[in-house]
Order: sequence, then C-alpha cells, then structure tokens
Amino acid sequence: MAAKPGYIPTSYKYDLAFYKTRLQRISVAVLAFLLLLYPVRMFGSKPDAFQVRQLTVATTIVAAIPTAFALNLLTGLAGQVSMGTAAFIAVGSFMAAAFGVQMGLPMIIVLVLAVVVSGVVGVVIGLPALRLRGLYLVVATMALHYVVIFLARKYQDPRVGVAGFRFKKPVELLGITFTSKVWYVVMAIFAALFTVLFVNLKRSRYGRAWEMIREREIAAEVLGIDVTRYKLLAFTVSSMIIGFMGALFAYRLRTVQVESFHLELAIDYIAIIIIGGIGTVHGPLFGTALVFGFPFIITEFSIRLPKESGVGRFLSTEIYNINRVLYGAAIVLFLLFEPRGLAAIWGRVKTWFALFPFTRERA
Amino acid sequence: MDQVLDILVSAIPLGFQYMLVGLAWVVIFRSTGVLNFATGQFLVFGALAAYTLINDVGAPFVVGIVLAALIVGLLGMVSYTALLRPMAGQAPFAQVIMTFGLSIILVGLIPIIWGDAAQRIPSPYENKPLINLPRGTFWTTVGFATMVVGGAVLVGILVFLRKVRVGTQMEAAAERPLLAAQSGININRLFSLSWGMALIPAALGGISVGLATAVGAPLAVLGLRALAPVIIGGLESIPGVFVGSLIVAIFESLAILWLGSDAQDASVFLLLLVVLIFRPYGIFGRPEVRRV
Repeated sequence: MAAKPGYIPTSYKYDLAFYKTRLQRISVAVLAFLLLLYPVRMFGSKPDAFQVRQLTVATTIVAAIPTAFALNLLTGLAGQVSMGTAAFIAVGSFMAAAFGVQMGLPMIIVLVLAVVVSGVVGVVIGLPALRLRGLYLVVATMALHYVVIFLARKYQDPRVGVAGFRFKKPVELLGITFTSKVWYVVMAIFAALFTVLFVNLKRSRYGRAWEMIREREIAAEVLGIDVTRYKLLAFTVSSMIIGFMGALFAYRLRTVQVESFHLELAIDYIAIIIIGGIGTVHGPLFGTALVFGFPFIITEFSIRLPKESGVGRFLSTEIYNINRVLYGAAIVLFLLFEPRGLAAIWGRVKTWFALFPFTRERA
Repeated sequence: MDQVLDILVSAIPLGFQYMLVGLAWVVIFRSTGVLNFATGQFLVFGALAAYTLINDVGAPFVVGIVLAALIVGLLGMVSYTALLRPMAGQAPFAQVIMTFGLSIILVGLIPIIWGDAAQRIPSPYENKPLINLPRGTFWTTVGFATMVVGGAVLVGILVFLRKVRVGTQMEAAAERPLLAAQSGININRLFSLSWGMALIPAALGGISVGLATAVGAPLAVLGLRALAPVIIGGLESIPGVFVGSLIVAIFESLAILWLGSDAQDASVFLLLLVVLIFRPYGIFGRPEVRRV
C-alpha cells in the first residue's frame, strides 16, 4: 500500500471493500479487458507461427497462476514449505488419465474426482507435516514427490508405456469445442477467480490464522488458533486447487506422461512465489509472468539471430540451458537484493508516483 | 539366498558412496545450518571435471581426481562467500532457496560445458573383481577403492574436527558463532572453508560413480538420495551418516532386487519419508527442543 494519507480506512464499509479506490476498479477492468481481447485479435484470421507461440506461452502463464496462488497460500500464508507441487499436479493429471482416458467419464465428473482425491492426498501429506517443520518439511515433501512419481510411473508403464495417456478428441462443453483460444480464455477466467479467492482468504479469519501460525506457531496456539486444523486445511485447500489445475492441464494438453512432472517443476513454483513476493497478492501474478515469460522472450530473441554467427549458433543450440542459468541467476539476485520480490518493487514504484513531486525524500 | 548375500556384499561400497555424498550435507549443515540442495550438481560437476582433466587434458589419473575434487571445493567456497554469506541470519528456508537457485544455475551450466551425454571416467586400472569373498561374491577395484578413500575421508574429517586447531575452531564457530567471533576466530573464513571441505567428498562420490558406470546430469539425484542416510543418521552426526549410508545402501539394493531398477529413487525416498514421520531426529540425533 502506498504511503498516502488517502488510504486510511475510516469506515468498516471502506475497510471491507474489495477495491479501495475507483482507480483500482478501473485498472483491473481495463487489464481484464485487454487480456481477454488479446486472443480475440487473432480469431477469424489464421494466426502465424509466432502468434501461436505467443498464445501458448500466454496460456501457460495464466494456467500457472492458480497453482502459484495455491502454493502461495500454503507457503506464503501458512509458512509450510512444500516441494510437492509437481506431485500434486501429477495427482490431478493422473486422475484425468485414469477416469477420463481409461474409463471415459465426462470431464465435469473427472474434475470433481480429481479435486476430491487431491484433497485426500493433501490431508495425508499434511499429517506428517504436523510433526515436521522447516527444513524437515522441505525434505519430506521432496521425498513424497519421488514416491508419487514412482506410483504414477507404475500406473502408466503397463498401460500405455512412454507415449503416455492421450485424449482422443478435444474437450467439448456446452456446444463449444475447446480450441487453444478457448483454453486461453478459460484459463484466464480461472486465474481471475483464484486471484479473488486468494485476496479474500488472505484477509479472512483463515488468512489471519495462517499468517499467525507462520509467524509464531506457539503464540498462535496460545491465542486459541487450532494449529492442527488450520495447517491441515492449508494443505488440503492448496492440494485441491493444484490437483484441479493438474486435471485441467491434462485436458488442455490432451496428454499425460509421468515424464512431465520433474522436481524442477516444483522448484519453478517456489521460484515464482519468491521472485514475485512471498505471501503477497501480486506475487504469483508477477512471478508467473517473469518465470514463464522471460524464457520465451530470450528464446524468441535467439531464433531471430543469424545462425551463421558463432553467438547465434551458440544461443540457438543451448537456449534451454541458457534459460536455466538466467533463471537460476534471477532467483539468486532476487534473494540477495530484493527478498520481498517484484511485489515490493511494485510497491516502491507506486509510492514513487503517489508522492510524485517529492519523490526525492525516500522513506 | 546367494543372491541376497551378493547384494549385501556389493551394498557396502555403495554405502561408502552414499556416505561420501552424505558427508557434504552433514558438514555444511553442522557449520552453517543450511541444507545445500546443490550437492547433487556439485558432485556431477566434480565427476565431469575429473573426466575432462583425465581424458582431454591428459592429467595423470590420481592427479586428475584430486584436482577435480579441489576445483569443486573451491567452487563451494566461492558459492558460500558470494551467495550464502550475505544471507546469514535470514530464515533457513530463504537460504535453502538460495541453494536451489545455485543448483538451477549449475543444471544449466553443466550441459553447456559438457553436453548431454553420460561419460565414463577413463582409468588405467581395470575395473575387475579385486577381492574375492566367500560364495563367489567380490568387490571390484572401484568398489574397494571407494571403501578405502571413503574410510580415510571419514576418519580424516573426524580427526580434523576434534584434534586439529582449525577443526575445533570450526566446531566452536558452529556451536556459538557470536562467542567464537569474539574469541578472535574468523568465522566467515571458517564457514567458507567448511563448504569447501564438505564438497570435496561429494565430488569423490561422484567420481566413484563415474569410474564404475558413467556420469551425466541425471546423477544429480544421487545428491538428493544421500539425504536419506543423513536424516537417518540424525542430520548432524558424522558417525551417524556412516551407519545411515549402510542401511540405505542395503535397503536400496534389496528394493532393486525385488521391485526392479526403477524402484531405486522411490525406495530410498520412501524410507526417508518413513524415518521422517516416525523418528525425524534420526538414530543419532536428539529430539528438537522448541523454546517458547
């Protein structure tokens, strides 16, 4: 919040309002309009290869936002560090494979089942987490990742082998065939919904209880917060959201293979909330845009360089690895210089404009 | 039954590999309280550096290995000074994330330098059954060398930390950094040294794998698996990691025998998970006491 006298709440109505100012309301509406208009620009005409790649990366970004919020809820609010994100995405995706591909159940039922199963797995993981804290929890969730991936592989290998499970035809719902443009819009809507959910959870009694547990567990207990219940709740809600998005992920790509769920994917999501700003509302939005958007920009840049030159050839053959190095460097630099992430930088930019003529005097 | 005996015999050199890598976690955790999740990348780096030194540069076998281990040690010292030292005093979680950042950089850097193919470190010594044991079981040259080097490293670290002046200073700095600093110990130099010292055994573990089979980027997961003996041993105990390594190696070998080779990662991590749930402080560790 910018250091501006106009933001002091003087009434409950103001304090409870989702948007504090008219400018916020307008800017969110404009942003939503632009984001939804973006693929519409490409409807009708046949998009070229660059536009297809743009749409793919844009969909990846918006589709990652709910998962990032789920992890931000668990790690950022409740303080429970999890390296199990990729495992939960795998649980959701494999539910889609088992119920959607193998049994041929309709998508809605599959999504419900994926949420229920992921929630149950979340509780199971949450139970040891009640005994473990800090670094031990990191290690436990990492171990869990490998166990889940092993089970998924044991399910996949005898049935379909390395090719993975494939959905024969694209999703059709309410007479709409889900093309890549439709998927973008659907994912953007989910991203918006989960953003609102996070904002409201963060400022509800649940969010306050989680933040209290994160800051000082024993103090939270003394204040009457049922730590066990709230921790389990954080694990359950977070894994349900991630499982749901995992099932949608399977339907969107129309394929499920255990090979897509590396431990690196879980680290990607931790990086997203760190780079974005842990525990903040803006964090997952900025973080996903940077973590998935930045490699795209580098890649597009590298394929436009002339192949003959040494630099161009080096960049184009090693682009995946160069992206890893830059991405690791981004994590390192943020931790060193701005541990509160892009959200804090955003806050400073806002303050700079809010105090405009007097911005030399920094607080 | 002979098969099981064979497994048990060959699990012992494997246990020493685990111990070498596990020591890297323990020594760093004891001194700086950080779990270094880049351990796996460092061990791959060390093994591939040994490959380049021996195969391409033409360094003598032993010189190449020692040099590669020292390079990794130096890299560890630089990493600590540049990345972890500025994070001192921050939440353990933030420091762990820093090691993730470091590991991602190395994950990208290693294929840029060495490519994607797995390499076998060339050796002048034939990797053949060297020491014959009852009922046709044996230890290979590499296996036996790993046990000798591993045992020497284990004893060396124990003696260093208890008898050598710098080592006892290191223990003091780990126990009470503030008091140690006030008694005139340069704790930053010691912490950096402990990172270097810790990663040398990890590199040796990687080199041992590179001599026996082959080494490539996927070997990094050995670094994560080595957390199992570390946790079983109690996270801070050096003898503990030795016992834990033997347990994990036997467990893993039996799991592979009965469930197939793709159970390797899962069996070790399942064991780790079970230990964490029922005895998080391990066999040699003490239960954590939380102060209000």
